[in-house]
Amino acid sequence: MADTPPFRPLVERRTPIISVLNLKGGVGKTTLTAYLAWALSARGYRVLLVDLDLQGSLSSLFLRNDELARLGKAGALLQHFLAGVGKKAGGEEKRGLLDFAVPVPQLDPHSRLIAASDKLAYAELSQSVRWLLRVGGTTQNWNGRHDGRMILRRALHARGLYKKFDVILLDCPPLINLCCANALAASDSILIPVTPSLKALERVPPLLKRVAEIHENGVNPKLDVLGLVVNRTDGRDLSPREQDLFVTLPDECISTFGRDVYRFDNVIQQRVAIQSSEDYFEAPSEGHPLRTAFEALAEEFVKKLPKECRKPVERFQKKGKGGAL
Amino acid sequence: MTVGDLQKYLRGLADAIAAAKNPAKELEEAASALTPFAKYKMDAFAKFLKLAEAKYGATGELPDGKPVKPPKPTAEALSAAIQDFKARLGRGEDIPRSAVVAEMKKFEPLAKGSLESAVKGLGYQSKPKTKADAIELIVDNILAASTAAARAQA
Repeated sequence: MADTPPFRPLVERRTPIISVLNLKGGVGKTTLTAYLAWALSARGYRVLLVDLDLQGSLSSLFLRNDELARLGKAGALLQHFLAGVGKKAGGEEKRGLLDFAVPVPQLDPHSRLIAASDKLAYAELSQSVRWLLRVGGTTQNWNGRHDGRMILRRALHARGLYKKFDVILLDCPPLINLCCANALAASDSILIPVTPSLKALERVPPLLKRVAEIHENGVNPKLDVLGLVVNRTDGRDLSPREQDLFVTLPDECISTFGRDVYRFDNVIQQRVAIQSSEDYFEAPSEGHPLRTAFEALAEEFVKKLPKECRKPVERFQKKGKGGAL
Repeated sequence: MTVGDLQKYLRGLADAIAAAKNPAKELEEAASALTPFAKYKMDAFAKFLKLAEAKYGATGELPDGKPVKPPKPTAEALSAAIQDFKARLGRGEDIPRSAVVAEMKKFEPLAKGSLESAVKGLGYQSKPKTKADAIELIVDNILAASTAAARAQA
């Protein structure tokens, strides 16, 4: 469509947008997103987190219940942003996605979270139906500028937003719904957490197939796969039993995606992983195995990012020269 | 009717014509020659004759009546069979799991060490407990990519 929001190239944006996604639930997407965000933030990265999971687990990990309730009442959650898309603002000024971003006490002061609660499901469904039935607008509007899959792209690729962050992490639900389609349409890459189990690995080729389809149908031809992160391993490295689960994966990736995908060297051990996502997030203390594991993973993650991505050090250098942030 | 019944008819016929005549002897010889096939049903024997004739036409060899022994399985043949299956599946050939299992089962007589080496050659680190486990792992490995593609398509 002519007026579909453009995919602003990473070389211009310099802020990578990464979807953390696996079509299998329970592989640790949310906790991985949270700890990776924390480790990146500790390296100076200004992280924007977007909670797209219908349970709002990432939000309840970082924000206390009373704070989430307050945001809910104030209409400051992702579902409120979604509900406002395609509607006229009336007397009020129309709010952008950034207006829904809240500080995260556990992260760098410049990092932000766009939180959601379990009511996101209703807004998501409502928006899906509005888009599918072209409710409240002309067909032309819904197809192009208001394409239901492009809501996040339009918001995250806006110059006023991406300039404020060094990396954007999207915590996706384990299914391709409208939120997930939005994440994939806006992202540069996906990061796939897996546990060393047959069931979790079996879901990787179907996910790669979906990525291939997203390339083919033109929703996002730029979408890449950053790699697989193995979560909840027996030891600090993969055991022979765990290694064996990955033997056929390269062939399976090639048959569904056309090429193999990278597997991160750093794994997250079961022993250190991970506090329950129902607990409140606390930064791991110095010397804690969780801290060591995620610092190593964050280092490898940063190395895997394309070279055009913005690095915090540039900001510090600018600041040192008296430049504006 | 079996070839054994045919033998009886031939012998009866030989008795019926005079003993002095040569055809009777020939019938008796023919009946004796059929002894190895006495348990065959006539239609199966007819098929066998067709096959024997075809083999003779193709190779010049006369069938000796003994069942042909399959070649002894070797580790090299196993490796070649695995690669062959993978190549065929890679070309998009539709090979059912049962066909792969049947072919791989032929290598079960191999020593356990040879099967373990084949499994290791595919990239696995842990040793299969039994020869049957090794065969199953090899079959799964051969079919992994096509199974994944089918699952992704579903």
